[in-house]
Amino acid sequence: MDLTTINNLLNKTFTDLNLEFIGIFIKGKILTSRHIHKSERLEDYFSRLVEKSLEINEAIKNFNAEFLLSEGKDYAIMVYYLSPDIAIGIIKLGKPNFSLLKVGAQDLAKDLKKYEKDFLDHYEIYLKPKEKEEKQSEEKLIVKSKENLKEKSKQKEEITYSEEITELEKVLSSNQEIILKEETKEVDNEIPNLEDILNVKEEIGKDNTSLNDIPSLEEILLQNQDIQEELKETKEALEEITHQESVDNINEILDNIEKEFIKVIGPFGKFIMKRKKEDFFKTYNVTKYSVLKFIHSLAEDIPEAKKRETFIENTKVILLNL
Amino acid sequence: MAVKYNEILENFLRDSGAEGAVLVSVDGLAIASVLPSSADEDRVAAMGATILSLGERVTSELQKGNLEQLYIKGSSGYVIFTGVKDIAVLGVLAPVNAKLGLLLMEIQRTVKKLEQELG
Repeated sequence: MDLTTINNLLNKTFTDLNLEFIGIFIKGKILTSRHIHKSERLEDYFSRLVEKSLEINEAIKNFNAEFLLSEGKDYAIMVYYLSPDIAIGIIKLGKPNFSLLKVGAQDLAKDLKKYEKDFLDHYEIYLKPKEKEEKQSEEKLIVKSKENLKEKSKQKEEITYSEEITELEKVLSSNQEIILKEETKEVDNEIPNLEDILNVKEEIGKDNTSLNDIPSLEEILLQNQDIQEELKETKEALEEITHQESVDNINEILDNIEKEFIKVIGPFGKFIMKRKKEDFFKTYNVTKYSVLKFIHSLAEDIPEAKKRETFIENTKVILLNL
Repeated sequence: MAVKYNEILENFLRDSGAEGAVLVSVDGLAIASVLPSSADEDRVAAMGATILSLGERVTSELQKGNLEQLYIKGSSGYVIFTGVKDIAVLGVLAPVNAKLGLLLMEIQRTVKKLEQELG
């Protein structure tokens, strides 16, 4: 691409329209420009404006941007789109004349149209942001390395799995062998020889006295009756002991309840407790439930609600021993 | 509140013959919009706020004051971005055969209404 030819074309439009600035932008990056007052910031803002304005073709379907225009009292800004990627940027100071600017831009665009491909190639070689390239290459590298890692881990997994399976198979087969050996050993030991069986028979035949020692069925039954009677006696004795223990236990619990009651209501509580206990356990058997009911009946005699609650709480703890 | 802005935009569309309109905050977020399905609301909003702001920077570099309006013509119509005070941007989508004079006049009227509403 001959940049001097491009510059000559730009110069012609620049002087014909008496412009402040003219430039060619490829994907928002400035290729070449002509200006009266050079300002890097102006070029930067204008480049970004051109770049951003190209997004309109994506924001609105089938929009196909032709030009952008902004006019003030004494200025005009125009961006004329040669293609979705290439644009001519124009700034005119003084009284704006839209039609004149448009015609000038159209003529320049016609001349530049044949360089469209060269512009894009130039962009790829010289203007394309390096950071992007680096980022892209980095991203590619990351993706590749990730893929490699995945493949490696897959292979590893496969290897380890297959190794584990073979090891397991080995262990299982060896275990089976051991079990089989042991079983056969046991069976071998358990089964007596024919000679041994015959010897036993002979011994039984010889030793008649041992056969006479075996008790008869009646004797066995009588013995069994005796054993059952003995068992019954011991059971009764045990029951007596446990009953005694449980009675002792209940008395202990009731004593504790009495103590708690006296603590709350005072020494007079001893008499109330005695009377209530006699009345209550005349009608109820001593069970966990009946004792709980008894506690609540005692609690009814406590006038203060707070004390009543503490009494119930403390006695519940005692009840746990029942 | 957004209902009120939507109402203003709908009235504007009815009076001007525009295809769509969007009210955008300076940070590029749509406040209210009545856009056709062909337009991506978020992108139009963000783009409008950005290019109007960049245009203003260009004019301030040229020492030409504020940039009030900027429009893009496409083969299927126009997109016109107009500043509403320093707080918002009004984006308007108009068909290619729209009467630009009438459209620009209606835009000015709507901008004034919006300025009153936005305070």
